[in-house]
Amino acid sequence: MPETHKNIVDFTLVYNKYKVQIYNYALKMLRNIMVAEDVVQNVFLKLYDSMDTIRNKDSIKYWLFTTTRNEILTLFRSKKVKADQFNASDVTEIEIASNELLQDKIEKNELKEIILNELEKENDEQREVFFLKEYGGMSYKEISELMNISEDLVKSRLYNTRQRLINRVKKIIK
Amino acid sequence: MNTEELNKLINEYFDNELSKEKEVLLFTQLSQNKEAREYFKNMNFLNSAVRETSEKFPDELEQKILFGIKNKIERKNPFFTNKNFFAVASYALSVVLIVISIYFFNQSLNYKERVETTMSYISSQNEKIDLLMNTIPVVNVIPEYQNEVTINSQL
Repeated sequence: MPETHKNIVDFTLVYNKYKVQIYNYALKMLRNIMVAEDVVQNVFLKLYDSMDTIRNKDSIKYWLFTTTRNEILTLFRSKKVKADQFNASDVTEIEIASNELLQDKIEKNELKEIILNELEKENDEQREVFFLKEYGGMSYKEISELMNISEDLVKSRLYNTRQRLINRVKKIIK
Repeated sequence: MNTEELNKLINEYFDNELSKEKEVLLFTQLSQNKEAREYFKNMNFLNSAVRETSEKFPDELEQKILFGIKNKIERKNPFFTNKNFFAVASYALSVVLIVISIYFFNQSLNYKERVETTMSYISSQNEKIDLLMNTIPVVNVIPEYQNEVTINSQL
């Protein structure tokens, strides 16, 4: 198989495997749909350019998240990001199927907003660990390597964030 | 095992980071600890709620990325991947065929000219030969049989 074709096949496999994770990680971190989309696009175009140089295919996940993180940090440093389009979906976007379903969707949407708002109150490091775990599907080890922190710190940050979320969500359940 | 330790094990369980041995220990502890069971329930609820916050990958973004990749591939291999390649090749082939046709047409014209020249030369030569032949005086050939014919018979 020619090198170009092999790269396309490899890229497609990686892209389909990680696109949702990368998109959600970028979106939750940046809280801006347009900027997050630009970041994801840049990351995947860079990935295609680097397919020849990434010899160890097992490290692609690490490469993807590191590149996405670097892009996000660059944006944070340049302070170009404004978190204004994060809550783009609202109740008006809900398709009305039945009363029960509508009620269910409204509740889900409310819960979603509560969780996202609660996460916004967390500091960046705390939130990032949570996003990498929940949306990136990364292991403690991978997160610790990516963020250059210990695994124990990863665990404790996750635990604390969840603890606060549970306390907030518990009030709604009750 | 105190409740906080147990809660941390529950976190690890939901993160798929708990070993099989610890999993057995966790469920044994859960059966005995009501508070931990409550935390497990809450974690389960939070887990599914957080999953709901995951956004679908936008189709427009997918199109943008794939279009970008397509452009990159075309830029890398413009000759083989450009969709106009066949059109360009057809035009080039047509031009080549036209040039070849003009060349052969010119060649045939030259050949025809040469044949005509040769033919006219031959016919002029023929005329000359005819003229020469006509200038030679007429010769009468009279046969004479001067030798005697002797017939011998042997009877």
